[in-house]
Amino acid sequence: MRSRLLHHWTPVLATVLALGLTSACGGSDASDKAAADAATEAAKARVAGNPALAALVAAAKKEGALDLNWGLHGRDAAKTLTDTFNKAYGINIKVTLTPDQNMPGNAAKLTQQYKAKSPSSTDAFMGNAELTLGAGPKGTDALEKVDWEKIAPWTKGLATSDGVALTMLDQLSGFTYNTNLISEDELPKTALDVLKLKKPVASTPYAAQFNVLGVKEAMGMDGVKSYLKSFKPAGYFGCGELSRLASGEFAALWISCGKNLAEVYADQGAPLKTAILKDAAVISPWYMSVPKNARHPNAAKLWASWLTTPEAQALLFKQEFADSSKVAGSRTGKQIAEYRAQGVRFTEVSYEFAAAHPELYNPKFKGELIKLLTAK
Amino acid sequence: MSMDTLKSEETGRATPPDPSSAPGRRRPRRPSPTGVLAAVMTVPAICVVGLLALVVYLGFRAHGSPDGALTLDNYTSLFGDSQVWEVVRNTVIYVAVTLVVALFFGTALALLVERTDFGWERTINTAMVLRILIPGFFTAMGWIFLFHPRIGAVNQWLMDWFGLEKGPINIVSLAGMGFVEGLSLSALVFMMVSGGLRSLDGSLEEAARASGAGPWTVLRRVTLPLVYPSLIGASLFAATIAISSLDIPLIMGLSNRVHVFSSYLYVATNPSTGVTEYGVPAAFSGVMILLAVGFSVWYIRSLRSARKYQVVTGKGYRPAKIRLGRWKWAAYLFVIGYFLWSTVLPMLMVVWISLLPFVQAPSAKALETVSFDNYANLDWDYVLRGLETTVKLMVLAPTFAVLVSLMFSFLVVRSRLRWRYGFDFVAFLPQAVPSTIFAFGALIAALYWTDGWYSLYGTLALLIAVMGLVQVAFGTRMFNAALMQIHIELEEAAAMSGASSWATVRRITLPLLRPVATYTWLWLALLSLRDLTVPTLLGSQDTLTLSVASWTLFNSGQVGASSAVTLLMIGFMTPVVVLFLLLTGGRSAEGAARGG
Repeated sequence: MRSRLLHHWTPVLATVLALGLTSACGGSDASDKAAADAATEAAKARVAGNPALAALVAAAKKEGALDLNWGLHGRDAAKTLTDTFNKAYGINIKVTLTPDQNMPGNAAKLTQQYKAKSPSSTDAFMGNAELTLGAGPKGTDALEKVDWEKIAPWTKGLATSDGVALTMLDQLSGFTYNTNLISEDELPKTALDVLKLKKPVASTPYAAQFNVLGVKEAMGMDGVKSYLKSFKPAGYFGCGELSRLASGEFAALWISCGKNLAEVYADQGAPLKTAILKDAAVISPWYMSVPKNARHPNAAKLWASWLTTPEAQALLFKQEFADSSKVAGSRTGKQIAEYRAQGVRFTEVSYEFAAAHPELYNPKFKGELIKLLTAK
Repeated sequence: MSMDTLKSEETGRATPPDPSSAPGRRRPRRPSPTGVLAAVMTVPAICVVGLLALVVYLGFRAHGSPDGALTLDNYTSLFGDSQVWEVVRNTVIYVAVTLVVALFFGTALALLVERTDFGWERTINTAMVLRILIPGFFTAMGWIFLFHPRIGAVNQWLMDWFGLEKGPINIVSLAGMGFVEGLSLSALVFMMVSGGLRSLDGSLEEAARASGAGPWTVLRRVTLPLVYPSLIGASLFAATIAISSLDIPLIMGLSNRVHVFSSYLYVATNPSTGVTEYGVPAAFSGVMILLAVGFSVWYIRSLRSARKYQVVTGKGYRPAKIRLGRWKWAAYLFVIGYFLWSTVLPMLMVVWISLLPFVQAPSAKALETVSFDNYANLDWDYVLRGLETTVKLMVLAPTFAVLVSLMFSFLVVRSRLRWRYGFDFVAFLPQAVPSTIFAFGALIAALYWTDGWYSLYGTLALLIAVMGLVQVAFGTRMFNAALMQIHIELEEAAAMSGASSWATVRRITLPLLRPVATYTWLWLALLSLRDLTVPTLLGSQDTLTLSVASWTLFNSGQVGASSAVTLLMIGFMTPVVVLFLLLTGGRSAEGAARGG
């Protein structure tokens, strides 16, 4: 029992130790190498105590490839993560990455491919709660149910109730702005303050997160409609196109999909920040799932489960400035706690939330919001 | 008269008796080469017509799904949807502006080169070939960086100098998009019109001048009416390309929600809601197909009635040149301005942006952030994957297109088949119908009707087939013209000497066609390299091209990386373009014109 407990905690201890060492040593290359070494040690320990995981590693090795249509934002995020993943399990899977950030487009493609009995173009689907639910058993049923805990005990509490998806990271939506164009004292504190701004504020063409504010605890469905009648964006662009804020084309993006995206840009010198507004704050988790028609399902399961390990999450935060608040030691979790302490009320748009609020995801309601938002 | 008939008659050999007249003995008749060719060519012809028929059929199915219920709702929605009417209105305005700009610049430059003593003929011809081959999204990006109302460098400078609150020029408007597309297509118009002008008899214009008509009157009353077929052809070409092409509508219009037909279809196949709805787009495409077929019939009839314009003379012909005199400086200003604004400045802006972490107007402050990071940090696996597919596509699609075009042309020009003009019409359809519609049809067909070992969805084979079929229109125009110039006497002589049909084609016709085939192949290869439309709609992660790689990066906000990839693409294109120019010499414009 004692040894089992120790065995269970070994990877976490190794990771914490490695992270401590790397922060002490500094230097990007050295820290990456140390993180990869720590990930390898942790993975070895996990595989040794879990025949199901060992079998999955062997099956993934046999598949030898992993296709991912994943639009991560950090410059080296995908490469660093996939290289470390291969090293951790001592495998040499050929990862084909396509940086496609159109999540809804990918979801539609996935469903269509499943209906047409064609192989999925991505082995692991990365999507928000709504899209994952839509492609899951309650929707088009294109996603496989997986016993995540059996192959990866550390995923306990990280999978959706129906076993379709694993949580990957949490994005905090807010008001992302160009610091050269909007000063600290001009910053809106609430959603209504945004309407008073005289600067060109853009929005997403798909009205990201506005539907979520239709929940009773936030604005309510009628409330969000009347809000959008008053909000006239100066233009539209996708969540990942923050270069258009950085360039000064627009002063802000409301609602942005995640403050971490602005932090990725800011890390490269762009004048971007995100304000989390007290009455319109959203936590939007990203999920990973495996399509039923995936060409390399075992590699996909191994990849998705590995991404929820503490060492992978640490790497993820380093690259994407976000991780899953449900994983021990999460830095995004710490940020959420700090915001809550400041009185910010978050609406957490989890898979279960999406399942419990079909009215917010009704195409008619969403269509209305898009029409209101984009009406000239 | 078919080749076999010719052979049997000309060689004096006995024609085999008609089996039907032989009592009691029925020998199977060997199919004639023309018959075999017609049977073979029925396959691509069915593919072309089938893809269009499929799109029309989907318009009558719920959600545009092959397994959807039969319905008229898509058409009801189409004609009752204000958004669709906005797309129609936008498309009409966009195409109108494109045509005005393309015809103005293309025709003006062609007249300057062919009808005045301006000179620089070869240089301008070469520059125009290059202009055609520069990808549309490249210049679109350049124009955004120059004239976007907020981030455009020129707008920013104008705002600084004159204390303006807003940039005075908005290039991301409908008119702006049409202007950029028009500039892009002006090179094509130039080639077709200059080709037409070059082959006209200058004596008619001389006669008009001798009768006291001024240069303007001669242009209006004599020259332009004589190049009317070229202008019609150029207009039809430019209009269909403008309707089909995705590059400028995506890069300049998508984020500002200015939708035209091609971007509307793109959004339908890449929805932002996670649910695909093809019904209304299919119905819309059905209407577009009808319009395109109508236009094709009208165009082909116009060409036939254009015989009255045939005033081409023989080798002794010298076109009359107007002396520009004092106006030469204005012509220089016009030509230099055109190339500067349409090509050089946008290109320089893309180079500039590729060196920055995010878009900034040229300034001392921005200069501090210049680096090669965008190149150093490129995902080279991704880029090389794009390059690999692009190379395969550049080699295989034109090869397929040239072979199919050649066979179509043989049937149309050399056979006596009753239906040969039907083949010609089918071969012309991909020019008249937007390629977006072909790609859309192919996407659905591959998704729903091919699976298992013969699954075509997302494969290179599908991309090559659709791209090749789309290119057949250009190929057949080229080979039809070339075959008409090769007199039948040569083949008859070979047949009289006892050569078989295949030997005649192999040893006489094909060698004579080699220059045209080389030109056509190279031209189509370059167009395959720059095309964004078909690969965007049909490609997958396995068949990513360089143009799609660049667009994907641009669309996900990595503008610097996208600019870097685009410049790499131009770099990759350069040797192929040089080879093309070396091989074709001064024939480029002429060839393109004939292709039309």
